[in-house]
Amino acid sequence: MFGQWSQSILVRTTLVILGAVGLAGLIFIFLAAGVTASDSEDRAKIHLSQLLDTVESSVRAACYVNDRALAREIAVGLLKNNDVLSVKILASNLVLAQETHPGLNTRQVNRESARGIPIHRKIISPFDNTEIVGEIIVTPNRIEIESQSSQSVWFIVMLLGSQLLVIAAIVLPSVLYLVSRPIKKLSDTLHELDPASGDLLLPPTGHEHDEIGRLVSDINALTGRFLGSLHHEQAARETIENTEQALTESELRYRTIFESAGDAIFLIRDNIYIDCNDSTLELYGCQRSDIIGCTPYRYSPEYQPDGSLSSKLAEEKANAASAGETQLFDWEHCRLDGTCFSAEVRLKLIKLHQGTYLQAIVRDITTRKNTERMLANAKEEAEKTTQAKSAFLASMSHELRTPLNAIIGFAQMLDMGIPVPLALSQKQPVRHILSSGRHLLGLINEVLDLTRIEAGRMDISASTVAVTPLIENIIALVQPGAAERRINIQYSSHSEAKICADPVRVRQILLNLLSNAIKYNRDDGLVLVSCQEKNNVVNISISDTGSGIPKQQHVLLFQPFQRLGAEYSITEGTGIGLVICKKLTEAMNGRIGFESKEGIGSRFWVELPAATASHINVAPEIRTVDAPKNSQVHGIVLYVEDSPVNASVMEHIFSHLTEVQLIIAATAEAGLDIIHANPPDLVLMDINLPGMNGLDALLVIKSDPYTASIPVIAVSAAALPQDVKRGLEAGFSAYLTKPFEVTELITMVAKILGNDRRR
Amino acid sequence: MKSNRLTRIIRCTLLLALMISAPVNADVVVIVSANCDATALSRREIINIFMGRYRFLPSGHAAKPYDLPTTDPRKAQFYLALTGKKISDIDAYWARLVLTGNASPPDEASSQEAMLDKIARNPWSIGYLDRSIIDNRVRVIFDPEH
Repeated sequence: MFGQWSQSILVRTTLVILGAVGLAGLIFIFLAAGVTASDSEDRAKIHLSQLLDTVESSVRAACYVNDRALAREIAVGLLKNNDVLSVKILASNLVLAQETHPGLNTRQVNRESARGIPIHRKIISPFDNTEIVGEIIVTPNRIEIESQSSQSVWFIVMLLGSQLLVIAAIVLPSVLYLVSRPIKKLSDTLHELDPASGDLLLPPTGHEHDEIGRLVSDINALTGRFLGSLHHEQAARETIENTEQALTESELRYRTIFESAGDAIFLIRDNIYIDCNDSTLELYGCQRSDIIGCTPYRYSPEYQPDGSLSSKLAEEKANAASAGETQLFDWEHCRLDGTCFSAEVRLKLIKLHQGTYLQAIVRDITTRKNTERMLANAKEEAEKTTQAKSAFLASMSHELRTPLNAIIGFAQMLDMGIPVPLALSQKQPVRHILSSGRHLLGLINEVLDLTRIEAGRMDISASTVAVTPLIENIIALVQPGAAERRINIQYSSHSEAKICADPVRVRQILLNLLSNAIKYNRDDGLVLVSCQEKNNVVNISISDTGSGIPKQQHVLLFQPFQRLGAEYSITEGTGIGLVICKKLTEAMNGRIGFESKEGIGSRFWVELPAATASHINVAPEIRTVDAPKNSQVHGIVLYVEDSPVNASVMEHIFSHLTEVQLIIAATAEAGLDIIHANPPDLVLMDINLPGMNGLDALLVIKSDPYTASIPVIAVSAAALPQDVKRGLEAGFSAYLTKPFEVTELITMVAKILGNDRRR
Repeated sequence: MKSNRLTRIIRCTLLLALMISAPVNADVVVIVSANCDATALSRREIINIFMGRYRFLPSGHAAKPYDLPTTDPRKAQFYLALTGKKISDIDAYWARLVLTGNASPPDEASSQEAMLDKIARNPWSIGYLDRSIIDNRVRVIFDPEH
């Protein structure tokens, strides 16, 4: 109980104050007593001395004359003072008076005088300062002095005691009010506080800025820090738990993937299999114990298909993978029973804390290999077929052109009235022969084009082409056919637009569309051609007033060999023109389309990119050179041709040119002999010849300086563009494909011979 | 306080005495009878006799001193010259002794002539007088001024 009490600040403060003040008081009382005593002594001495002063002159007189009565009277007078215990007056040699305090007996006087120090004063003569005439001895009364001083001491003690009481009365409530109570209140609040909920301790009113306030803010700060670290720790623990959970899940996930993977998965460490999944056991037909502990090339044949040693190659791959480069390669594996299979192996480095592993994923690719092989075979086959088709088409084209040359050639000549003008009744049939022949030729050309487009072997050049001249040129071409059926062609735009395209192909497209517009128009119909430039795109549209295209047939329009019923009509057509147009347009980054209303007409349009400044290739303008008059053309022309019919066509053509001598050679060798013997002004050269071909013959001509300047024109049924290109590169001045247009041939010959003559 | 008042009284008296004595300017001397056996007396012996301490002549015979009347300024002049003390001090001295004790001041002669007469008549008497009125019956035994 007392121990508890002594813990209280109040009690301790009280004890300390009482102890300290009491001790200080005791010391002070002793000091005060001492000081008071000595002070009383001194004061008594001074007092006595002053008393003596008052009686001195009387004493001097008494001693001078040895007057006992006066001396006695003086002594009795002095004893009236309480401080004086006894008085003794001496003359030079006798006692004049000796008196003591009347209240004391002799024994007391003796005892007290033994304690007190008597005051002696010499008495000098009243008339001579040098002569001592007696002495007075006064003994102070110590009892009286001490009683006075003890009174003073007691007074001080009382004062100190009162001071002690006052101090205690002030200090103790102050301590109680200023310290004990606020701290206890604080403590009670602290007990009720729930720091986890973020409560703050409030300082007691009036103590916000003193030590208690600081204590409160220190406690709050400490609590805050503690809570902070607590939360931090909790968060860290949660993070760790989450991480562990995630790790466990991740491991489980990996394990699930590992075990359920269709591929065989190995883990390799230090060149030894340390783990594998169930698929591995299935794939290799073995137990896990057969795998674990083996080297990676244990289940491989001694040599890989490329002839390298399996162990060595496996080591190389493992080293490369260990360096961090994931390896993906094909590998030949053997099962326990000795059967082998191809596999794709993915070797990847896995870095973990415990060390580095290699993960090998082995996938059986036997099936894939087989498929690949089949695919390669199929592709090869397809390529062969394509090649065969191309060869067939080329050969067919050639073979078809040769007879067509004769048909069209003779028909043209008949039409032109060579050698004799035809009768009116003959003219129409000859025209039919000619147009049918040309139709056939067109068919062959389109089929060839389509083939090339489908094979993706189309040469498209990009040039800047002015639209209006092109359209006008094409309109002029089809105008005669249109006029026959009184179809009016109108082109009103006269646009300045220029497009970026291959001029030959654009011409082909527009010609196709325009001839369709005429072909499928009604008699007395109308064809409108217009051209608009918008957003860097030039749109050329061609509208007709034909029967239109039924809606259900729209989707078939750009399909090959679809004539939408026209095959049953009298209108001629191959059904591949629009397909070619579409392909060509797309190849030139353009679009083609149409809209049609049954019974009203159709509108076909082509959009091609407009030419910008970057398209600097300007297509050469098609210029028509006025052919010299046939009568002005003369010279020697050698025609090397193995086909007698074609030679005959040529002979007929040249028979018209009276000033030109035509020499026919059936083989290249014969032709060369003639050239050497009698150099002609022009050589027309077939290319497909028995023995030496036309190209070789050309080389011979060009390599001989004597004959090198002779112009050589190729006249060949090899009409594929690459043939033409190859021929021009070899050195032919021009390349005519059979069947040729007679007028074209004549123009060309006349030009060369005319130039020749002028030269 | 007491001494202060005393001092003031002394000073006043001294001043008065000087004023009174100044015109007198008499030479006061101690005289004995011509018949007196003492030839010389010291100042101390003269003081002892006049102040009542030891009233005997060197021969052992009791001496009988006489004073002039208090009204005579020569009395104060005499005591001042002899003891260096003012007459008031002398009076106070005697006041203490006379009230209680056995001692008494010298008898008083009514005048200088009476003094001269008394001294002349008694050979053991001693007194003081202005030197100018001394006659051959008495003898100057001490000059306090010297």
